[in-house]
Amino acid sequence: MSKQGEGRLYDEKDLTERLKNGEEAAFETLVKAHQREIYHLALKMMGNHDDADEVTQRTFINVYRKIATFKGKSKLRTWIYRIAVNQAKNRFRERSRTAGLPEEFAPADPSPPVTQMLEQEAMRSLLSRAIAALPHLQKAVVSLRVNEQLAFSEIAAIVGCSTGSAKVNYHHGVKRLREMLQAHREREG
Amino acid sequence: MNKSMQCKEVSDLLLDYIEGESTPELSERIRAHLKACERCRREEAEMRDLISEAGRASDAEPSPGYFEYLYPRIKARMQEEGLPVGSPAIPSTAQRLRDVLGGWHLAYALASFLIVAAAVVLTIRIVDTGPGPGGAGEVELAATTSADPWHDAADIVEDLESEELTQVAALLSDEVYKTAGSLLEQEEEDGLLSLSTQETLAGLETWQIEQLAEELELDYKASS
Repeated sequence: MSKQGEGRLYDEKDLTERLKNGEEAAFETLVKAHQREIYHLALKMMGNHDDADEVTQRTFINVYRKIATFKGKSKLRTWIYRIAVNQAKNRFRERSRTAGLPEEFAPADPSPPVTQMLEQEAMRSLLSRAIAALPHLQKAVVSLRVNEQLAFSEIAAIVGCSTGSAKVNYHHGVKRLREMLQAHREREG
Repeated sequence: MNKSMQCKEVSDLLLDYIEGESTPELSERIRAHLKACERCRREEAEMRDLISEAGRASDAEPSPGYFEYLYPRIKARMQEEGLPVGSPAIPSTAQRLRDVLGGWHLAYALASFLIVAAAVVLTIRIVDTGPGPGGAGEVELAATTSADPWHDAADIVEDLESEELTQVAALLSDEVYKTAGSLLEQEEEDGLLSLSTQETLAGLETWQIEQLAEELELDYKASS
């Protein structure tokens, strides 16, 4: 038994085989086991519910579509995350093409009522927007590290870079978040 | 070796320390500095707080029932898209090719496929841009278009065995495709034609595009 999700356990090898055989119950198990983590990763990367929902759906559809190509060289979860990160990147491209926005820009509400929120909620809201505004690779690395506490080697396998590059991008991402937070605090006095 | 550290040095290494990525010796030195320096302790606390809060940011649950109905929604969408859940998984394109080809034949087939895919995207891009003020020399081979060939190619490459990937990379490693070829070799291990490789393919020099266009007999001139 290797993975827990929504309170149930499954054997990864067995589930993969069942998925390859097109067993519907296996697909449902997979979706329900991973839907929360994929949705929250997508939400962090996209910055809004609608896009996160779209990325989540596309991720699972692609998992089903491509399961025949999964050879078990990585963990199933790593593979699913990699699909999710690529789907988020594709979604950004689509949006930037239709809206004429730079690809790395995450449209976020420019003036949420931060001052009316509790301090902690305000910080989370600010951080949420700040993460969504990071360049794509930094955003993916930071989200996978702070949300899922994945090892840098696993993150590297998901985003398709070296472990060293994952660490560097994490450093740059956190540094950028810190700068954004400090700038915000200075503005707020 | 046990020289005391400066605040700037600690600040630069703090994130590695917090993430448990420092060597034991370095961690010990950082710890010693933190013990004596209130400013750096404050910075450490802020950093830990930032990481912790960043982990909770966007953790807000979607509307009630969202996760309960996500699977039925995905299932219905797949039905609409002609991919009903419950049907046996479709063998990958690479597997189907492997069944009828194999070895170098598969590599040749895929290399040809990638070249044709590049040509299709190139054609689309040229049609999209037309002769602009910058002249056709500004035209780039754009993998970011919605051209399906890239996705098809990525699907195939994803399922190749290492040896097959090497063969494809070798075939692609001629003058025009040397960049893509080397990247394909790098990606041999995880067998994924990543977006970065697609972007590299997209980043071919104008003269390479011209050469490719000439080889494929496309009606394209870089300078008009």
